[in-house]
Amino acid sequence: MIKIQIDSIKDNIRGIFVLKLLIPSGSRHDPMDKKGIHNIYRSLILRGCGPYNNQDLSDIVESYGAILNSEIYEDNIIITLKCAEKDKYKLIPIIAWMIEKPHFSNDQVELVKNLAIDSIKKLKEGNSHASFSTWRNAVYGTGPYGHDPLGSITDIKKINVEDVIDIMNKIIKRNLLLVISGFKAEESKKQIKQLEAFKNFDFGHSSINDVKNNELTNKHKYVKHIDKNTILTTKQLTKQVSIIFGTYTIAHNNMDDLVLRIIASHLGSGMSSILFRKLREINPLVYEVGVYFPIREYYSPFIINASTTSEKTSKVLNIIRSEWFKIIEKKLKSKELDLAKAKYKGNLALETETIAERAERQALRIHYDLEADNNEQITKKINLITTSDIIRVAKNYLNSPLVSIAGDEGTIRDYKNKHFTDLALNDSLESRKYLA
Amino acid sequence: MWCKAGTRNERAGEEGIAHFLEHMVFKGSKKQKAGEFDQQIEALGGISNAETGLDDVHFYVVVPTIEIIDPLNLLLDIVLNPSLKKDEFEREKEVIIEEIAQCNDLAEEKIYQRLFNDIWGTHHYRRPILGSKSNIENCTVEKMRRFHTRNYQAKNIVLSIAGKIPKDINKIIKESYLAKINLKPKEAEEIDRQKLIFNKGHKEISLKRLEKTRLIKVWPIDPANHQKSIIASDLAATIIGEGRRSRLVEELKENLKIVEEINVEIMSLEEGGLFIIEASCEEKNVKDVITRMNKILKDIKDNSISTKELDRAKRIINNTYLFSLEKICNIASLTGYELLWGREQTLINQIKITNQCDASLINNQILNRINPENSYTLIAKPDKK
Repeated sequence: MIKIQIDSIKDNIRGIFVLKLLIPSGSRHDPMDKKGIHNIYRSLILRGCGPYNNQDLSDIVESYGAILNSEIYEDNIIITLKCAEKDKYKLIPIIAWMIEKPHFSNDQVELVKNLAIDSIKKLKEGNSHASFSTWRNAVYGTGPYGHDPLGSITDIKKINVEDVIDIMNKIIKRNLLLVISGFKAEESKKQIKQLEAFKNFDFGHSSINDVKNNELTNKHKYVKHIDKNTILTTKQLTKQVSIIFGTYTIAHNNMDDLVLRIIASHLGSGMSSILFRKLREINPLVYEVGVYFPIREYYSPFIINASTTSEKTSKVLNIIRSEWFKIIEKKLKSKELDLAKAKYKGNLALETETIAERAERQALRIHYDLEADNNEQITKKINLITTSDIIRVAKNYLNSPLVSIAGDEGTIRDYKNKHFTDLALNDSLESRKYLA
Repeated sequence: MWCKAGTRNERAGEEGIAHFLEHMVFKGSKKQKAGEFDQQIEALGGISNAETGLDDVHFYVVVPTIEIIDPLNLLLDIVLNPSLKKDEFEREKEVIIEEIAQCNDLAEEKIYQRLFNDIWGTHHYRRPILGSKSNIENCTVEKMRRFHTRNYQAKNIVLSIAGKIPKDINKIIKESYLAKINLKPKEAEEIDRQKLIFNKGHKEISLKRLEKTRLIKVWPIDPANHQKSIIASDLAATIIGEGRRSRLVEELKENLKIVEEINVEIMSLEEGGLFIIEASCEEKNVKDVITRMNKILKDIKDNSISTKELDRAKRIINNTYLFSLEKICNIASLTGYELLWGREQTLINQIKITNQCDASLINNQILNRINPENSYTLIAKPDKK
């Protein structure tokens, strides 16, 4: 029997039905020499299962105007079915067949492998991918988070049907999670359990990751010991310089995660953020700047990313550095903290505006073991965060960032083998003119 | 808030000014200092942004369900009364130049700019929305003020609000800055509008940092006001290139495996848009892709489309549209945009028109036009030197 937990959300939106299936196995579970295999698996299950071959499956989904897709993340795979409420029972059985009875033909495996390789190649057309890849490699090394979820071209070429079947056999032994959302969600939940397609699914299980504790103790497996003062450089055929500045931090279910999210809001959320104001409004140095702090099961990256021209690079780096360390060294003003909290709460509401977003949030909440973590309760927790919490958490987790830049040959020559602290001293006089 | 003040409203010497003004709006008014607007909206847990297009510009705020008076007045104030201070203006020039540099660094952007430049000759639509570095350097506060006065007038503006609407909304608007807007413009519209002429042809270019060859084929379609024709074009695009059972995807990607990606879409514009097919493939397969693509397009025209594929396309388009209405911002945006261009219609009308389309309408409106002889083809190859 395939172990699965089913959860439902009654939604006031009428006429739309959403199903999210979370498979607690993502790119970090790729075998060392088969990086990208989970991505291949998640593509293949959309290309034929149960009684439907690739064409039949596309036919039925498209004829109902439904959305059926799967996405790969570091920690999991999420399958989404979105359709008109009236069509749901025609489509729900496909979800069971995708898990239990996928078709892995040689032909489809080769097609999906080629498509994945092409996607990896296309990623290289963007400059920020190079600086981030270098940063990721330095921080996560060859550990589970050390590669892109799409995998590596060399490894993908080696993958065959038997390898994918092997992954599938591991996946069906994990505890899966199904979240359904719609106006009649509770009724649908009962019906799904009765469907013939789900007869080999055991619904009485908790989906919380079963191997969590073992992995948590292995920090060395996840992150590398690195010289954080050295600036990492990657040469690119470009006129722009892409900057990545950040560190690994903590798991999403760590109690300090929310404090870090408020820090991210202060630094990079919206046009009132400190980095937007300092790097664009007061000093016109960049067009875009942001903070990337994804939800991860362990050691989530906390990164500032910006893009600028070669001659402005050192000024941008100095301002980012200055604002980063201010968080650690100086308490935020209460007005700044209030603004960061308001933005985070607002974004939380906007990010759960659609029925599919609410269902996904619920799936992640259960997967990451966040008890009763609805928007209302998060708001209550946010209200309790103080400026002392900010400084404590920043000191604990943000004290040694690592910098990676990708740019043209000249820029890279200037920064290669430089230490970030030296560079900041050299430019301190000039940067003072820019710091408002 | 939608305004007919896009790239097509720029006169000679004003290239890039519509987009530059969109940035300057956020630099405040007489009553709001630079950054104050963002701060106030975001302190409410809201977001704000703007976008400039070839035909128009729009500014928006999304705020939690509270009373709307403050956000509404703040938005109207910055859009209608921007201060355009000299120091802020000069500083923002550098930001725009950064944005242009960032765009010029992206291969996809370069490809499309090249395409528009080639197909639209000297028409306003060929211009890059951002302008060039020298356009921005030569821009002045006075020029921008003139552009604002000329275009941001009552007849060119639509305000659209979606969500919980207060009962006294009319009173709120009557007391807002919108009521004080100049109804009798001093300067009449004097843009020398050129007729939109589509140049067909074939061109090949090489670009650095391109990993895959891009093949783009385009055809002209009717102006956005021809709603039936636009919806027929959208249905044709779906039948030809949306989903694995669509004609091009099934044949070129799934069966023959000669393209990595193929997308078909329409670009709807007020003076006439485009039907676009874009494929990404290996350079060695380009010829084969073009030959087979032409054959598929001919075949669909000669043998018409089946009831099954038409129904499928209607379901895809209608559901995508309905799903998009879950976001309140999309409702305000769609309503505002249609009203701006005089297409007063309820949201549900779009679905009604889609359902009324039949195969012969699609044939007449679009399929008969998209033959190889009438197209412009751009092939962008990776420059490996």
